[in-house]
Amino acid sequence: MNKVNHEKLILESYENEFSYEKNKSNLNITFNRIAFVFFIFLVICIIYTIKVFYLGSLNSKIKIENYGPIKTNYRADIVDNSGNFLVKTINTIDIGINPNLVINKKRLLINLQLIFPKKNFDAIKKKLDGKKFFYLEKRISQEKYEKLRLLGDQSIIPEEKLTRIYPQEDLFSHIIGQIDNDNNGISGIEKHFDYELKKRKEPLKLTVDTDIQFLIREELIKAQEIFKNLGSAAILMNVNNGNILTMVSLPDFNLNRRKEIKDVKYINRTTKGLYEFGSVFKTFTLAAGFNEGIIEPETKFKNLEKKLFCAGNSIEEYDNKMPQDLTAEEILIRSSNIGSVKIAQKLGIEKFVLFLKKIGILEKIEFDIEEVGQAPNLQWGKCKLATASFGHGISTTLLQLAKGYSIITNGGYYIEPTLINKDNKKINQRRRILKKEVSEKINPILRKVVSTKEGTASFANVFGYEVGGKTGTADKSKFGGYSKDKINTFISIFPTSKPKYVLLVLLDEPKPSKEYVYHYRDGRKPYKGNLRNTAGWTSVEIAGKIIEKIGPILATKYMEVN
Amino acid sequence: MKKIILTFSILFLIIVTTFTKNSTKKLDNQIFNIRENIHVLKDKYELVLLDYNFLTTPKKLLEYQSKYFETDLISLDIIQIKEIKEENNKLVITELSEIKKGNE
Repeated sequence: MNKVNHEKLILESYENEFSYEKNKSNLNITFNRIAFVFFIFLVICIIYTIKVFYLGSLNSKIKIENYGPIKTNYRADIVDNSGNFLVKTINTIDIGINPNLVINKKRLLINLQLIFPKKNFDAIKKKLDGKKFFYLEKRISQEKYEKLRLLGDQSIIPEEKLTRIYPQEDLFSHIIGQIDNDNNGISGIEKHFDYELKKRKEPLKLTVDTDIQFLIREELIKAQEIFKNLGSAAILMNVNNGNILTMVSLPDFNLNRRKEIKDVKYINRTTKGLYEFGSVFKTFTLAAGFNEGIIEPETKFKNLEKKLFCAGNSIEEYDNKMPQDLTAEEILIRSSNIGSVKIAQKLGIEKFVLFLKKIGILEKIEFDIEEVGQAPNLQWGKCKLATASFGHGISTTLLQLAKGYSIITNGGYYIEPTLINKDNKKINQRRRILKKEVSEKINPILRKVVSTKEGTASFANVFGYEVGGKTGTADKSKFGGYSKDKINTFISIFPTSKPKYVLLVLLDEPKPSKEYVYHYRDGRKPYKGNLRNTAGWTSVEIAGKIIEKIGPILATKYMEVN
Repeated sequence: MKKIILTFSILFLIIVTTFTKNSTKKLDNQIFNIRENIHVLKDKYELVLLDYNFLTTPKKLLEYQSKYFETDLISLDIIQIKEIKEENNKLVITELSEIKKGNE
């Protein structure tokens, strides 16, 4: 009841207000209306004024790239780190004919003959007699298309098609990959970034450098002529951010020809090919020892056996002249198998495996292209530890080696190899996963592998670049066993005082070249007639030639400006 | 008097609004045209760049070199490359490579 009374009171209050208005003239009511209209116009005026200012301020901020109609038949371009096209999409027109819509066959044929004088018109005449749609000409020029349009024949059906042009032809074939006729990526970057390429307006910028890629590919082709190898591969990567400047795998293929690639010889040897790399693993064994603090470069290993036996198999040195007393440093420089086994035994299985996992050697790598190899899971035991310590019985990809070597030489910072240019990537945000001392100890030793007589890589001692590295000569595994064919690898780091780049060169099944003349870098007389099929006489020589060629570009183009 | 002021104010606002709207429409059209032109120019530029990229591929450049000026180009050793720096408003020429022969 109280509530009702309360409402009544309110009504009375309104009545009072109305009574007040009744006393006023009509003019006041009009005044309110005019004020309202005035207010509306004022608001509109303010809105447009704001718009004028907004549009005025837009002049400098027009984003051209976000403009333009959304095309269904679209795929973004791909450029290198300098903005040069690696892939360019061009919309072309295919001309088809629907025989059912032809009104005057004779007239159409005469007109077509005038536009396409070189075509076989007997075949076209037969097709016109049928009822099936057929393509008259694919990727027609704009000039001919205009002429066809002027014919005004409804049976001529133009179809807009997407065409990818590759100005560098075969230079980036393994990286870029291919697309099918329906604009779907089927390999490489085209497959991995398929969705993004269909959506993004801006070209996809890669980290690769066209000039360096070309120079390295040229050297690998020369190597093929000298050492008659089955294939070869090379990776050049920035050790501090994982940006890949070069990734070459030979043989490659011309993307413009759009051929179906099925032959296994075209495998991407940088990311997909799984290999046992041999002695390049000794660097990991030594680095794991430094990281765990169980050895120092000067730690002595005395009375090293000439031969070890494990599960009935023997482990021995490749060089009979290997001293029996070696320091940890000398084990890597002289590439001692037995010494590496001893370090691994000191480490133990758990620590060794954990170290390899940490630097990304054992597990499948996350990468920007689809073709990535995955090594089978290993059954770790004493023998596996022994053989893996010098790179036997353990396989991985060249890309994973690049990652591992980068981490152990860049101060122990974790990096992910990448092909995609990320401008906002900051080196300061890096995460350290190994002790700082690992790089401080390992880098001078890698340098000695190249710069000393005892080392195995003197052909890569290019003056001015402080090249360090490690060689790996491995028997190629075939049909569950090993063949006499070799996988010769050289992994170089430069400059070793402050590493910037890692360069990996792999030769698949090289043969020694008797005719090739080796020029020693320490001034000794040139040498001809080599019969040794080791990395030191094959991959190292090629790596040296590559560094000589690309060094000035790296030193100037990629110079850090403070 | 009030009526007149109000009427004039409203008229004034109507006229201003019309002009403003007109001018924004013109601006809109101009922006549209400029964007369309830029779009066409951008397409042309990209095709020219594609031609340029094709004609200046390292492979082609080496072909031109062997054809026209093989002897004019020499490869440089890193020790021959110098770096120009500006220090205290003066240009200083330094060695690019910090490594000197015999110091390695």
